Amino acid sequence: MRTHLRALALVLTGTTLASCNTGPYPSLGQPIDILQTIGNAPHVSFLRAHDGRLELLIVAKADPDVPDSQALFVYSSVGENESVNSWAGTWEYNEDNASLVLQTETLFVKPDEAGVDPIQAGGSYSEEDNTTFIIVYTPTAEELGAEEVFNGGVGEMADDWLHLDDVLKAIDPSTQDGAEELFSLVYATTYTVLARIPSFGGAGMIQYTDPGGTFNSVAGGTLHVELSGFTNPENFLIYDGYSDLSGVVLDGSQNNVSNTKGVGYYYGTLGFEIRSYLPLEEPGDTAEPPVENSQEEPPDDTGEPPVEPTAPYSGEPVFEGEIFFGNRDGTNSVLLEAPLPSGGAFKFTVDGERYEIEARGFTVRTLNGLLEELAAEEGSEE
Amino acid sequence: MRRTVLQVLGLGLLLAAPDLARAEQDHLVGVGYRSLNINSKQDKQFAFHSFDFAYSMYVGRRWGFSTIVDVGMPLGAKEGDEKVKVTELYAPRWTGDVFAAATHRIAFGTQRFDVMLGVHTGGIQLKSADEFIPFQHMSFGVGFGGRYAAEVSDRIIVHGSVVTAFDFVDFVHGKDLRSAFTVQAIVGAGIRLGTKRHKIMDTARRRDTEAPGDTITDDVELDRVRRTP
Repeated sequence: MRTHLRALALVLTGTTLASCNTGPYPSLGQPIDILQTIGNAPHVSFLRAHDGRLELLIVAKADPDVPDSQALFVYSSVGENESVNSWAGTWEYNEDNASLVLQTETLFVKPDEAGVDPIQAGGSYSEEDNTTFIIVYTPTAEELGAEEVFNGGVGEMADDWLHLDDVLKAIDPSTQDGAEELFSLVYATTYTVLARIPSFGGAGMIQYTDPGGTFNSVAGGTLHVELSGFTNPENFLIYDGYSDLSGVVLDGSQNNVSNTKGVGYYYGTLGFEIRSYLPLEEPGDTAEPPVENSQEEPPDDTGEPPVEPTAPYSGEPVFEGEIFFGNRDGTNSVLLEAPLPSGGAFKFTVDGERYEIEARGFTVRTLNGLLEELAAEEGSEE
Repeated sequence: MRRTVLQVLGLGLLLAAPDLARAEQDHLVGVGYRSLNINSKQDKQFAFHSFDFAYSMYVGRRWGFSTIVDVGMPLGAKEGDEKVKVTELYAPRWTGDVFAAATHRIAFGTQRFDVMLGVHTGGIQLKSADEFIPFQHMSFGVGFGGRYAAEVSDRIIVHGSVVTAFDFVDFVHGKDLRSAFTVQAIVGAGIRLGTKRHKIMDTARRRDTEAPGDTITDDVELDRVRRTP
């Protein structure tokens, strides 16, 4: 009899302990990664500060390698506690209104669940969405229209949107403030993907035990997510040529070890390279649009050495460096209190210079100050 | 609600306790079919059909305690009206159930009919290598069942059971579960332990043989026989 009472107690205890929240029921056969990536299509990115949020927009032409492909976009908005809303869909240029018309199909959400016990947190989820965003874009020459969006964005983008190249030009990473702005830009791209990982940040992370899950980033490369262990889970995020913003490419790992309350530390090193759409010119120089498909130009027969291709993002990196999160044993590490870093310092190296950026209270929206300043300058020029 | 369920279960155990001292035990294994229907608050409906292996036990006399534990493999599924080929999409995939119940046993000679009322917990796990979102479900509720067991030779019994369960507590998806309804049918064989009872039964059978018509049909009669020197 005692044995059976024990068995019953074990069953009841086990089921109670198993209580966790992995978010709503998924559909059967629902792909783990539903983002339609832009493949080899030409693309360009914009940023803005809006209502206290940091917003990133990547727009692409139709993929030339895929028949009947559509022009895609991903529009991500990072808010309080690095929560993320990210819309994906198709876009077209409306010549009548001189505007980019973005038609969303999917909304990815990494909710703000700060203060929620990780085992009760639902984590990221996606849902069908049918929103239209309209961004007025006035090209410098009428006949260019949508084409000019891809020619360095020299026209005027309304609503405080700034071309990524303009932001890169304004960043001076030789100062602490400039390094923090660049770090914010790079680190923001690690948050946008989190909204696309079902249950990320919630108890449903247990689904990423071996073999884990691999997610495409918007502009090439992947992020592999894997969880190991249950009482002190080790969470691996491995970036391979990952790019969620045009020209910003990450390689390396950002891992963490935490207890079931989400308290622990980060470790790993994440390398980055940033290439501009066009080579960044000194003020006063004129940037010529790149020649489309210039890599496919037939070799000339003059015997002269071939000209280096000038395809977008193919030049020398504008910035390169790495983010060091700490050692695997927890020494020299950035501390974690899910969902945010809570202590220690990011060791941020850019172009050979190393900066320490305090982790507690840090937000990628640090970049907003610069974006607001640049938007105001553009506004005053008009 | 959980508290009420535990109170009902506790009452069942208390009722069973006096009889357990002279308990007989059935230990059974079998195979079965299980149907699990899940309704979510987001208006998703799932139906799973699985082939199960089950272990079933009973301990007690007129009142007792039953447990049925089973593990199985989902073979088919539907979401709404649409069939989903889970065997092609997911691996590994498994399902499991535990049903623990206060039981009233009715005896007819060597045959037993059990009525079970208790608690149920069950789950399903469908994993996919890196391609589809895993489907997980684990819930808790109440169950009702019946079991027929017949002794075919000394201590060897065959049995058939049907259990239905209604789950309403969601362990995995926050509060997205509206209800989960399980129907399970098991057939199999096993052994009956309880030496004292068997000795009594043997005595009863001998007496029955010596005095035809004095058939031992239930536990009350069995107690009378036992008290006879």
